[in-house]
Amino acid sequence: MPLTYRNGLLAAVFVAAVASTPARPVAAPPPDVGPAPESLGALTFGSNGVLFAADTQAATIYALELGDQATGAKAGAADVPGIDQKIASLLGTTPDAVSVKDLVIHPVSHNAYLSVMRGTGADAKPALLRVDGDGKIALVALDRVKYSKVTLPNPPATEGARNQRADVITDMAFTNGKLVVAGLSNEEFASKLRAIPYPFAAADPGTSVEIFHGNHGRLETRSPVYTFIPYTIDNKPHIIASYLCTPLVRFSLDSLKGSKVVGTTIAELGNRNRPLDMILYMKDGKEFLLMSNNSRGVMKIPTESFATAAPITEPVKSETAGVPYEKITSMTGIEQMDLLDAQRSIVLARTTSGLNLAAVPLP
Amino acid sequence: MKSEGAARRITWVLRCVLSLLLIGSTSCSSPGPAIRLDTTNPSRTFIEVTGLPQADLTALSKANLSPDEWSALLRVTLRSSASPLTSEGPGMAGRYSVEDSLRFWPSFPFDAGREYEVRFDPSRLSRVSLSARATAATVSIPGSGRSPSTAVSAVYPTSDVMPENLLRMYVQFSAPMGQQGGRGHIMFFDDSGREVPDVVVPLDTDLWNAERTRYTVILDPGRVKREILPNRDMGRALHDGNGITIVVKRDWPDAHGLPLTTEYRRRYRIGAAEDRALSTMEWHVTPPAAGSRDAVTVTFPKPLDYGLLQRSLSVGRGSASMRGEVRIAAGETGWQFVPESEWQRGPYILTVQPILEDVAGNRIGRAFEVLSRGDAVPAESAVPVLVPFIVR
Repeated sequence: MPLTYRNGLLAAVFVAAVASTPARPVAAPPPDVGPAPESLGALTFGSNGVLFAADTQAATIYALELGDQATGAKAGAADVPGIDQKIASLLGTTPDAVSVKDLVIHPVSHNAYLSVMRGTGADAKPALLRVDGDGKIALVALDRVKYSKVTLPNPPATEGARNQRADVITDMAFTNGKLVVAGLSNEEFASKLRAIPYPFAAADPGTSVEIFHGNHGRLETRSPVYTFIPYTIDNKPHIIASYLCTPLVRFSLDSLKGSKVVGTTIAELGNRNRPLDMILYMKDGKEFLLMSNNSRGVMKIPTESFATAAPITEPVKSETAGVPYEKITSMTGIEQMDLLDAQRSIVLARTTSGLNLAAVPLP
Repeated sequence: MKSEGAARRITWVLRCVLSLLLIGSTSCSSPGPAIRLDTTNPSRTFIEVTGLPQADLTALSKANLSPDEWSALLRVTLRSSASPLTSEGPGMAGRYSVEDSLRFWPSFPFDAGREYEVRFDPSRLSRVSLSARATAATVSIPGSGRSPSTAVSAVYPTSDVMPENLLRMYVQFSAPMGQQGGRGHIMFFDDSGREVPDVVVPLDTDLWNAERTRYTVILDPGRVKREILPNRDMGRALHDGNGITIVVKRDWPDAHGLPLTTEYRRRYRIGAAEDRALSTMEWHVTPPAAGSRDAVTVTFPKPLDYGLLQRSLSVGRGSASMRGEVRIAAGETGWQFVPESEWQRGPYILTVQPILEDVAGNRIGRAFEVLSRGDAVPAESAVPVLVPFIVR
């Protein structure tokens, strides 16, 4: 139909009105089937057993509905000594070509799900695996999985320049209807923490804020959050996070509405250290944060003072400062960790003979 | 594929008939199952068991076997001297199909240059009885035969001096690299040849560009930042007045799994910490001549971040952004833009995005570390800075 001047004008006005309306979460489109991620990294379960899986190479997060691949197997996750050998065998390659990226426990079946990269070269492929209560490892057939996805926006390149910028997703957690995503950029030191409503709305990349490190109340820098865990204080959602520069910080999830958040440092956990995983658990009526680290082993931190811990405002002279912790010397070589049930955590532990999946009592 | 199988069966029947007619032999037994690797389509290679009796194929196609049963019947494993074909460990994951032959389609391609053991054993099926006998074979795809060809083509910053609070470096490769990150492959040495430990933040993720040709190295910000524990405990990794040599080891595998052609070494002098905000007032813009396609040149008083320089500056006239080519000067102290079309006489705008940083993380109007007094910290600007220049 030919467009009249009058219709054209109306159409232009309508487009302008739509364009000026802020993006809102809308009803999610029906999920597609058969995701084809370029890579798989961080994993986390959301409500209703949706598995969020980060494709770090494509800065994309998949929400996977596992369907019958979340049921049917024996509940729980049994110990699997030499799991790297067995994964390599399943994927038809050698253990040195297998890299386990993350480990999470299904909230209902308590089966373990692992994200893995197979291969060391350009032809490396991602794999999602399930370990059940018999210790059996199965490849999740992604071509049968329903999914939706959201891609983190990448700023466009300047005209005439190649865009070499990329984000990697370092940690994710689902809380209060939102997927909170921490990432690092390969260019800017500052990184954004995003809270993305789920179901994903195609037009809504989530809200992002820059996180600052209030350094002993004196110095302040932009700082990337590397790993974190949702935490409730006074019935309000918070984040307990570790910046790239090691301190343990606390901030309110509500504060993510602005463009800038300064975290409150509640502990400094020492140098040569990078927290890898955090889990919250109860023992003898008290709550603890268990944190695995790349060089300082596993730390057990009582959370009772998280809400009230005074910000560290003076430079620290001792080895550590702030909220106290206990070093769990019985847990060594921990590369990945999640809560298996009320009494046990499940860990991937590196030993001289390889990688072991093991359920261990919570300390 | 169906016609190939039919042709094979016809050939076998003809052989039997011929042997009966010409040789007078009465023994015409089945040739038995045979295992072969089909690489006709390199992206869809599969393993095929041929020569199965039609009754077996029919039974298999109707049996509705579980994945475990399929894997017991036709098991594919990587051949390894350390763990020869055993019942330990799962067989290779894949799908099975039955047409004129039994086929195994691996979930992941077979690795070139490796050998795979294939075992077909009907006796391991309890629910279905097959008449074919067991057989086994070793299959492989030849290795590529490549030799090392990837090298480090540059390390940024390219200036001879780096500040002691350097935050980020880039290692540029001549071709895509493999999945491994820099841990264990990038090292730092002082002028006496001793390794300087804990320079780089120990991440369990790696920062590549999309092509995997540029790797970002983040120096441990816990040591760079003042007055926090790692900094107080260990001090900065780099010290003003010293020298430091970055070494990229040859054993870092490229996308083909091959080492680099050579080890890369580069020595830097370490200068004073750079803790001032960027100011475009200190930049010098050299406008080109009207009617030419000469570059507009912007020079900076200190090196800026190589990665961010590529995409933080642009040139426009009015509201239109110009198309052209960006060049970064050696030492990252200059930026040039060569337009696709000739410069017109009149005003132009250099637009600088607020994400631009120097090599120590300082931005325009806000240093990496600022003294905070309550809420008095200046807010970060989200608005580009505009630098006008005139073409005459």
